[in-house]
Parts: sequence; C-alpha cells; structure tokens
Amino acid sequence: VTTYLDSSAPTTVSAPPRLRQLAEEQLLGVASQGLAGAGNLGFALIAVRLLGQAEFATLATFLALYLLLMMPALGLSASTSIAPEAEARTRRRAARVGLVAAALLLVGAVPLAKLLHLPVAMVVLLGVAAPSAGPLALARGRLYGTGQHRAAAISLVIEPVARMTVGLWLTSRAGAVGGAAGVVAAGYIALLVARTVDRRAGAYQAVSDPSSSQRGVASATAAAFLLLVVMQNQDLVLANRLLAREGAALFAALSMVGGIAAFATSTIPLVLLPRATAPPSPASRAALYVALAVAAALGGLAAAAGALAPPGVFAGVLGQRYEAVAELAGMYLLAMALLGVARVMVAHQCAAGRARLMIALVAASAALQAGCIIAAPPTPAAVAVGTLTAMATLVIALAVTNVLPRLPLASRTARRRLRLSRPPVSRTGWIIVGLTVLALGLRLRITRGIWVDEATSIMQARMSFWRMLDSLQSTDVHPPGYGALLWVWTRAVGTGELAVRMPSILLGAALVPMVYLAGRALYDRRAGLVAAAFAALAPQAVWYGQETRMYALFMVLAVTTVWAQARILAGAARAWVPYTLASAALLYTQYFSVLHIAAQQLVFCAAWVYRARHGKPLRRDLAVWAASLLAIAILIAPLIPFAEHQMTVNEQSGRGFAAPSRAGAAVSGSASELSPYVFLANLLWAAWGYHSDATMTALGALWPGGMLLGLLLLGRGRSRSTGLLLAVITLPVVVLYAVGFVKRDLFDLRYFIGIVPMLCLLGARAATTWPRSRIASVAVSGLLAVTLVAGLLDQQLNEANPRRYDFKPALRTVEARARPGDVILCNPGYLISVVHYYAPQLSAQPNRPQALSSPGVSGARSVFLLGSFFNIPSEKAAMDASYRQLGGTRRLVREWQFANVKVWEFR
Amino acid sequence: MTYVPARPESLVEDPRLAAPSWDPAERPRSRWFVVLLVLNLAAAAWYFGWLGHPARIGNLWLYGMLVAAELFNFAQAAGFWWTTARVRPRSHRAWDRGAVDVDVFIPVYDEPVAIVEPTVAAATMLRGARVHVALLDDGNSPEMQELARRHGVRYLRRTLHTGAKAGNINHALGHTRSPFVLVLDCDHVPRPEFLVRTLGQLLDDRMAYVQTPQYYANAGGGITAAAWAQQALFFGAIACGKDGLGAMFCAGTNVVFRRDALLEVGGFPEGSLTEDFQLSVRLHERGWRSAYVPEVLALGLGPEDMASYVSQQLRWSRGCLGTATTVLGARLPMRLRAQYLLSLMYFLSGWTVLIYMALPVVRILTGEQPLATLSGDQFVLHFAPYFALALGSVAQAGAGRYTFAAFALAAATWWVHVTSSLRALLRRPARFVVTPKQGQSSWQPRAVGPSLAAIAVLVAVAAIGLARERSPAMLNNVAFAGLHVVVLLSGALAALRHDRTRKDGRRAGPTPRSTRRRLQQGDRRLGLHTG
Repeated sequence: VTTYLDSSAPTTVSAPPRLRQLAEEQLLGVASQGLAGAGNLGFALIAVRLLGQAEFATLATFLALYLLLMMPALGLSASTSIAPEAEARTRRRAARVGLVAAALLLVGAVPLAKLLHLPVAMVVLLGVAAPSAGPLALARGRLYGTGQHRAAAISLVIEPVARMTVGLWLTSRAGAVGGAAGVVAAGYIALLVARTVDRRAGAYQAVSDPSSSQRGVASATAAAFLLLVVMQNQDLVLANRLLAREGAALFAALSMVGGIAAFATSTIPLVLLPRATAPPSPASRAALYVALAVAAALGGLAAAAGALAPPGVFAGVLGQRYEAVAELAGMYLLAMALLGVARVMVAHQCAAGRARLMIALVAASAALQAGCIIAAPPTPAAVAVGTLTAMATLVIALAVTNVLPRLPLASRTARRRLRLSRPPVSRTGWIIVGLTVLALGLRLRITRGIWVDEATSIMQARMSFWRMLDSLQSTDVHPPGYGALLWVWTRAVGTGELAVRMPSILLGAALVPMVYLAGRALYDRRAGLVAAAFAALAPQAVWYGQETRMYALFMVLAVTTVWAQARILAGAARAWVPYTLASAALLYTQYFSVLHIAAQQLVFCAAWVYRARHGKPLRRDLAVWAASLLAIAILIAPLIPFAEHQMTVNEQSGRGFAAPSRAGAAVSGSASELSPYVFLANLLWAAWGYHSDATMTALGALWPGGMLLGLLLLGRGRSRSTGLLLAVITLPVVVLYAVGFVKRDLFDLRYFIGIVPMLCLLGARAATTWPRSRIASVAVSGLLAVTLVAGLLDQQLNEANPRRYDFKPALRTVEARARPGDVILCNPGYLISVVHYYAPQLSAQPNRPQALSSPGVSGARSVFLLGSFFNIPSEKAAMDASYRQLGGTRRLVREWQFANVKVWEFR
Repeated sequence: MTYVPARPESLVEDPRLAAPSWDPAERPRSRWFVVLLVLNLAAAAWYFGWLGHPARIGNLWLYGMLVAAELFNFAQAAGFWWTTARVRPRSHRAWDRGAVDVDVFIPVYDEPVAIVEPTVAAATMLRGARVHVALLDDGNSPEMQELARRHGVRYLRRTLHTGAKAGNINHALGHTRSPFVLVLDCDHVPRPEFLVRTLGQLLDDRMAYVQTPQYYANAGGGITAAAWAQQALFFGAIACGKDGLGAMFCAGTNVVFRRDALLEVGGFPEGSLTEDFQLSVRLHERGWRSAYVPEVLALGLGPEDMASYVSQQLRWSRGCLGTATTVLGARLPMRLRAQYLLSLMYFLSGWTVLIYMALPVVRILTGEQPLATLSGDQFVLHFAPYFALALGSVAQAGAGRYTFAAFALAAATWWVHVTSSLRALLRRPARFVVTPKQGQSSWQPRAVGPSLAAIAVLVAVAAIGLARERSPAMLNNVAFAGLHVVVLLSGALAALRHDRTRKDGRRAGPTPRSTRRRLQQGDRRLGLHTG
C-alpha cells in the first residue's frame, strides 16, 4: 500500500489499513531494529571487554561520529519513505555529496583527529564510510516507502551481523581502529544487501521526476530528522570534549545504553511516514497512534528497566568501571525514549506539511541541549540532565502541535506545494494554547510552601528506588505510581521547591487540553472550550496542580479515561488503548480511583445492555471490553501484593489513613463526625476551592441554591455523556461518604479529586446549553469563571485557608535563631519530614513522651517546639503536655504563629 | 408532513399541520418508577417525622403555616404518585359495528378565520365514520358563514347567546342527531385518524366520552412552551394514571361524546366556567365511564402571551374551585372523588407559594421563624432527600417534559390561585373568557404585577437583611428569598419582553398570525379568498 502526497504521482488506491496491519508493520520494524540493535550492542559489549578504557572511549566516539556521518541515514530515509520515487535522483546527489565529504575528511584528517581526540586512521575510515551513508539511507527509506517491510528488516539485520563477524575480528586484530574498519565494512555490506533485496528496483524509472512539492517536503523532512540525529548524538561529542577522560568514558557507556532505546524506536517513524497522509485521515491518525504507542511502550520499558536495574547489572554487563552508569541509566533512557516519541511526532508533522516548523522546533531543542550541557558543570549527570531537559522540551512542544493538529501552523507554501486542502484554520487551537499557558502561569504562581505530605513524598523520592518502594509499602498508604514518577523526575531536576512541584504543575497545565478533548468528545467544541477555561481556573485544579502529590496526575488520568470512554461509546475502537492504559495508571496513582473506574465500568454495562435491547451488534464490543479488563488486570497485577502488604502493615500499626488527612476538614465545628455540611463543604471545595471555616459556613448556608439547581434540572433531558459524568462524580462521592461513617478520614476531597474536571465539564455543558442565546451563554460562562477566580484568589491568598500550612516561614525563623546543639521537637512527629526538607541541618526529633528527657534535648541550649494539626485532639494533647513540661524546666523565650503552624522557643 | 392536499405547500408551515413531536404514552419503566415512589414515601416519612416533632416548633403561627403548606404539597405529591403509579396501557379497539355517524362541533366566538379554517378543513377529512361537521358560531360572523360555505359544512348560529361555549354546544345538540359528538376547539386541527383511534372505545355502551390530549403545536418557546410543559405533564402521566383509575375528566376539546350520555345529564352545564369539568362529574356520578387515548390526534395552539395564559388560568382555577361543592356533594366513588379533589387542589397551590415567600421575609424583618433554632445540618439532612426525590419523580413521570420554565410560570402566577380561591370563597361571579388564540406583542407587566411586587419585596427585604447581619441564618434566609426571586423572575420575564411573539415565531415556526397570512396568500392563489 503506497500513498503519495502529490496527486500527479502514481497512486495505489486501496482499503484503509486495519489497526492490526499497522501494528504488524511497526512491530516487524521494531523487531528487526531490535535484532540489529542487539547485534550492535553485542559488538560494543564485546568491544568494551576487548579494549582498554581509553581505547573503548575512542571507538565509542567513532561510533557516534559514524552515526553523525549517517545523519542522512535517518533524514534521507525519512524523506525517501515519503517519496520513494525520488530515490533515484537523490541517490546520485547523495553519492556526490558523500564523495565530497570523503574527500574533505581525508584532506582534513590530521587536524580533525587532533580536534576530536581520535586517531587519524579513524578519521580516514570515516571518510571511507561517507559515500555509503546516503545510498544506504535512501535504499532503506525506499523499502519502507514502497511497503517492503521484510526487505527493510533484512537490510537492518545484516549490518550488525557483519559487525559481529568482520568487525570483532578486526577489533581483536587492530584494536579500536580495527573495530572502526569493521563498522565501515558492515555499512557497505548492508548497502549491498538493501539494494539486492529491493524487488521493486527500477519500478519508478519510467515515472516522471518527483514534483518540486515532493522534493521540498522530502528535503525539509530530511533536515528535521538530521537535526534529531544531532540531538541524539551531540551530547556524546560534547561530553567527549568537555569531560575528563573517566567522565567521558562513563558517558560513552551511558550513551551506548541509552542508544538502545533510541535505536529500538528509530524505524517507527519510517514505517509511519508513508501512512501519514495529509490532510489527516482516520487511517493516518490510526497509524500515528500505533506508532506513538509502540514508541512510548518501547521507550518506557527501556527507561523503566534502566531505572530499576540494580547497579550490579551494569557492572556485570559493562564492567565494574561503569557501575556508576546505573545512577543515570533511568534518566538517560527516559531521554532517549522521549526522543523516540519525538521522532514519531516529527514524522507525522512533516507529512502534514509542517516540516519547517519541525525544523525550527528541533533546532531550538538541539540548541537548548547544547546550551545546557555547555553551561552545566562538567559531569556525566549534568550532560544527561541537559539531554533529558531538551528531549522533554521537544516532546512537550511537539505535543502541543500534535494534539492540536488544527493549529494553522502549516505554511501556505507547503500546503500549496502539497496540494493540500487548506486546513480548517480555527481559533480553537490558539484558545487552548492560551488557556494552557494561563493554567501554567497560575500554577507557577505558588503562594505556599511545602507541607507535610509533600515533604514525605520528597523524602521518599530521595531514597533509592527500591528503598522508596519499601518505604511506601511500610509507611505510606498510597500506590507507587506517583512516587516512581517523582523519583525519576528528581533524579533529573533535583529536589528544589519548584523542581519537585513541576510534575504537578505540568500535569495541571496538561489538564486543560485534556478537559477540552473530553468536553469535545462528550458534548461539543464549545462545551470543551468552556470546560477547558474552567479547568484552567478551577481552584482545586490549581491547588493540587501545585502540590507535590499525586492528585494532579489523578485528575489528568481521570479525565483521560472519561475522554477515552466517550470516544469508545461513540464507536472509536482504538480509544480502548488509552482507556486501558490510563485506567491502569490511575490505579497506580490512587487506590480510590477504583471507584472512578467502577463507575465507568457500570456505564459500559449500561451501554451494552442498551445496545442489546436495541438489537445492536454487541459481540465485538464485549470481546474488546473483556480484553481491556484483562489487560488492566494484568497491568495492575504487580500492584496487588504491594497494596495487600501495605494495607496489612498500616492496619497493624493502626495508622490507616488517620493522619494527617484530617487537616482542614472542619467546616461546622466538628470534624470528627460526618454531617450533611461536611458533604456539602467537600462539594463546595471541589467547585470553588478551600476557604476559611467562616467562609465555608456562610457558603453552606446558601444551600437553597442547590434547590434552585434541582429545579433548573427539570426538563433538561438525559444524555449518555451527562450520565457518564454523573456516574464518575456520584459513585466515588457517595461511596466515600458512606465509608466515612466508619472511617471518617476517608471522606476527603483529595480521595475523589477526579470529580473536579468532571464538574468543569458539567458546568460547561450547563453554561453552553441552558441559556437560550449565545450572549447569555457567554455571560453565564463568564459569571461562573468569575466565581472560580474569586474562589481561587481567596484560596491562594487568604491565610485563613485551613489547608494552608506555613512550615516554610516557621522553619526559616527557627533556622535563623537556632544555634548548634539546639533541638526542634516536632508535634506531630511526622513534621520531621518538613524540617528535613527546609532545615536539614537542624537537629529534629519527634515529640514523644520520652523525648524531653533524652540527652539531646535536655542538653540543648534552646528547644523549639514546632506544632501543627491542632484539630487532632491527640496531637493537641501531646503538644500541650510537652508545652507544660518544657515550661516547667525552661523559660519560654518567644512564640510565633503562622498559618496552622506554631513555634515556641524554650531556653 | 401534510394531509391537506388542497392546500398550497406554504401552508405546511402552520405548526398545527406538522406531525406532533410528543408521545403522551412515553413514561418510565414501571419497576424503576415504583422503586422511586417507595423511596419518595420513605423520604417523606423521614422529613415529616422530623418536622412534626414538637421540638421543632418555633413561632407557632409560622410553624403552622409551614406545616400546612408542606402537608398540602405532600398531599399533592402523594396524589401525583398515586395517580401516576396507576398508569395502565389502554389497548386500541377498532370500531366494528359498521358505518356510524359522528357530529363534529367546532364552536367559535370571534376567532380569526385563519385560525379556524384548518380545523374545519381537517374535520371534513376525518376517516372512520360519516362525519357531519358543524361550525357553531357564537360571534355571528359573516366570515365564518362564508368559511362554512366554502368547506361545505353546516353553519349554526344562535339568536340567544347564553351559556357561553356550553350553551353553544347544547344548542347544536338540539340541531343534530348523530349518536356520537366530537367537540373540537376552533384552533385544534384534528388528524384524519382521530375517529379511527377513538371510536372503538365507545363500543363499551357505558362509555360516555373518550378524551385525547390537548397538544400545543406552537410550543416553540416562551410562555407557550412553559404552558405546554404543564400540559404535557397532565396529558402524559397524570391523564394516563387517571384513565387507569377510571377518573379521566373531559377537557372540553378533542373529545368524543356519546350523545345519549350527554342527553342524560342535560347536556353541558351552562352555569360553570369549566363546563367540561362539571360535565365529567355529572357523568361519572351517573355511572358513566370515561376513557383516555394517549395519542396526539389533534394539534392546537397554546397561549402565546402572559395575558392569555393568565386569562386561561383564571378561568380554569375559578371554574374548578367553583365546582368544589359539586364534587364534595356528588355521589361518586371515593376513588373518583379523591381524583377530582386532587385536580381541584392544584388551583390552591398558589397559597403555598405565598407562604414560602412570606417565611424568609418574616424571619429577616422580625427574627421570627417557624422552626426552633436548629443546625442547618438537620434541616438539610431531612429535607433534601424529600425534595430531591419529589423532583425526581416529577421529572421521571413527565418523561423529562416538565421543565423549570413550567414550574416558574406556575409559581409566577401564584396570585391567580389566590384570587380565584378568594373569589370562589366569596362567591363572586365569574365571566367566561375565551382564551386568546393569538399572542400580543406589547409587554404585559400587569399580568404579572403581583409577582413583580413580590419580587420587589423579597429583594428589598434581602437587602435589609444583608445590611443588618451576615450570620449563616441570615444568609440562609436571604438565599431562600433569592431562590423565590429567581423563580418568580424566570416565570414573569416573558411578560416583560417586547415583541416576544416575533422572536418566538422565529424559533418555533410560524405564529398563528403568520400562518394566517400564509393561508390568505394560499387562498388568493387558489382563488378562494373573497375579501
């Protein structure tokens, strides 16, 4: 099946490919690439043992330069896979360019060798290799472009076979230079095979030359992919230049490991490109989703494996000298995984006529990467962080243009050349971008410090991965999903206050486009836009979009599952994939999300019953549904023993969900008992954020507004979409409220925070459909938005917010007054995690009965009593007791009061 | 869809000639509805059990008023649940006794020809019987006479115009002799199958009449839509339930009578504003049965402005309340008596609105409240389930047809019920006013004057309350006042808009006026127009 972008070219019209066919194509490419990668890795792994440290670093650098020389390998492959008929013409040019490059390399071999710290022979070998690079890339690209996936696979596998045989033999004979010669020879062998297996060679000779539009697209695509190769490899070159020998060697090994992820996913865009037609069609979108799924899965698996593998594995494979690679492997593999995803996105966008934009984005990211590496300290970790930062930036930038494909970014010229119909230029994309930026800005405007729960998460993230899991299992009550995410993140960007909050901030911003997509899928574009605006402003979305906890992730995943379910119920079978993955991820994020998923499953059941009653075919739906459930079960299987152990430990220790989750739960005098006002207060929180008790009581008194809402609902009719939203709102709230009568602390908004985006969607639906005129609709939407802003301002700025804990200024105060030997007693004891975060140098102890008589406390000049969570009677009693006891033996020098935090200094 | 082939194509834009978009038989699945009713009863017991406790009594008078209002509403709700729980599907019966004659009465007073003509034309095309259409003109209009001539129908005119519509029909009864009589309001265009779908029910020799829904074809928006939503609830679940109880009363139009039954009770009672309601009582009292066929077989026009609606409601409420003594004195089975009383009681519900509006006003101004000081938690805990479930059952029974606009319109005309009940109590005479068939374009604040006054009072009192204090109790009462203001304003707003008819027409298709114009244009093209 071949698809061309230009209608003047010969076109094979065929049925749209099925999902299975698309997946098979990708998997064949990945498998052959995997085999090739394994072979290349095997070559490198054997070489690392055959060669000395410095010599291996030299060979690794050669490999990187060889890859750089093969820049057109991916760039030209990409361009040729779009327009395979252009191969013959391009091949001649590529050969000429290759010869010129060879000549230049040969002429400049000596100075280049000096510049690159390489033997002259290696530079000469690079020159020899140069003429093969273009033709090989073009040959492979043509194989992909003409749908000869098996032939492409053979050409891929043959190269490492040659390396493993010829290359290793030469390495053993002539060291690093011999290895390099083997690599070059393997390239020529692969070229020979690629041209031999091409059954359609010459098929395009009779065809007229490719049009200028095709050439333009192909060239731009080649340039974009060339820049991606630069991004993939420039860190190694820079590391070799900037780092000391040992560091360079370490990074070379790391780069080699990271190359696994990058290499494994490199065929995916090539397979995708012939499918990525413009304007986008269902088939091209399906091809994109399959490609993205495969790239993300492979990269994610590689990153997870790298992060979780014990150091001994790296020492065993790479040698003891490279054991330190283990610390950076997860992060670097993640960066390469992101590169894999980025390549798919770039391919798709190039095919859609946005190659220039892609060139700009990738070039900017490459510049960012180089800048980060050069500016950072000369350590392997800094280089890896620079690469990760650049890759993440690139993926985010691409996501914006990929998720919002209607943005009018394609140049007019490109569209004209491609004879594309003008894409529906819509303001929607820009509005969503604007709202996302607004959301990002609001979430970056943080008005509070780290509190206990966040400090606990940070403390866990600072541990080794296995220790963190153990800590979660034995001392925490949450699943490990967010902990793992934060662990990887902090490895990359550290544990600064903004850094640890960044995942939530980004997720909080990502909520906006997700809510838009869900709104559009459930209702229509207008509802989606208004819901996105509400999501940007919703006080709870902002609050938890700033907190170093799992709740922002909870919201994003919850709305993702709702979006996917809406698509499924509308007949989009491919949405089962994101639904299944997001559901599993949700369970790894928060245990109570099981209620959200249960509600969705009930909706599925209702939909199947409805279809059965109306005589619609159901067998296929039921089969896919069962497969999805099975997949979710398999995905969460590792979580079950973890959760079981966690629950057992918590029940045995009597902790459960007891503390500190009750903080701020009081709204009508008694937080210890559930009441309708508590119920009401939680719903008000969900909609308008956290406020002082007085404000909440006043708002609660306005409950007749609920009667009005009930009356307004009369005659509104029922829709499946609204039913879905009501289900995912009602079930978690009602069940947790009922459970709250047994375990009071379980009825807390945080545990059903997934309802916040759903409320945004419902509110948007009401605002866009209840008023009869457009103006009234805008007015109602605006009015609701104004109430959200008012709620947001009060929540963020009012110090009487019961959820605000000002540990930061409290500990800054203590830090300023404490002298060496002074002690800070924390009441409750878990405040110690905050002290460790803000004032690690202070000697902190939990306030236990025996603590006051311990030598550390009794011998201290000053004892600071740090108290919080005064609404928990047991903690208040313990604090009062310590206060009295300290007052009996010491003098109260001073006391400070902050939001929900008090400090007393006894001397 | 059109079934008047002689008309030019433009005439199909008359909403009465289009297919109806409502199925009166659509109702919730009974199992779920029964569950909902059980929950309703449980919630009501929960609430009234709590409310009735002596510890709740605050100000005794206010408490008494509150309890009275709540009990009244509960009685209405319970009656609604009882009625709607008895919905039984009535099977269709075909007339199998050979050819039969049916007189079709179309009483007119001074309605425009354009409104009447489609009705007359459609009546001549009724299938299933030998129809004898008679135009009963109480307006002595030459245009009507010409209309009757054009369509070849009988034209009946009285010399003495007594007894309003009832007198007009009785007069016609004396000049016709078919065994069955179909009564159509002049704006209700029957569908050809009207008699096919209804006559079979009259195979039962004790069946006095067969009623069909009164459908507002012009219910595109505004008052008409709200009024229609009220009608839809009645002619949907309630009428079906009444039919299940054998208690469906005659609505005065779209109804087929057995002549013998009419003659036995002396024809339509002429001294009542709601002659149809009183006639039903008399027929049921004499053991005649009634049936309701839940199919839209005639499409009519609803009130298009507030004045028309208020006029209609005043007539209905005054007329129905005027028959209270008749109902109480009639020899009816308990089931039927209760059903009639329930229907009458609806026209007292304006009093409860008045009480509910008064309570926050009194609380804010005087500090007196019906309930003893209590935490809001407790009230919400007991009241919210009752309220929510009651609303839910209305929504469910009405199949989503009963809207907020319908509720607000009913609330905004609370004073109609108050006035009517007072006039009935004082035995003040009432005059039969024909509901206008065309909307007025000028604004009509007088039609909602009492509601506007109530809004002004509520707003002023709420402002005073907020100025005095901002305690939760005060805020709660202000919120109640706000709730009433929003509801009343929503109901009254339609009377405060300029040129609403044109706007509604744009939304809902042509208004009667535009229909008339099109009819006239069509007639000119056909050479039918004589003017």
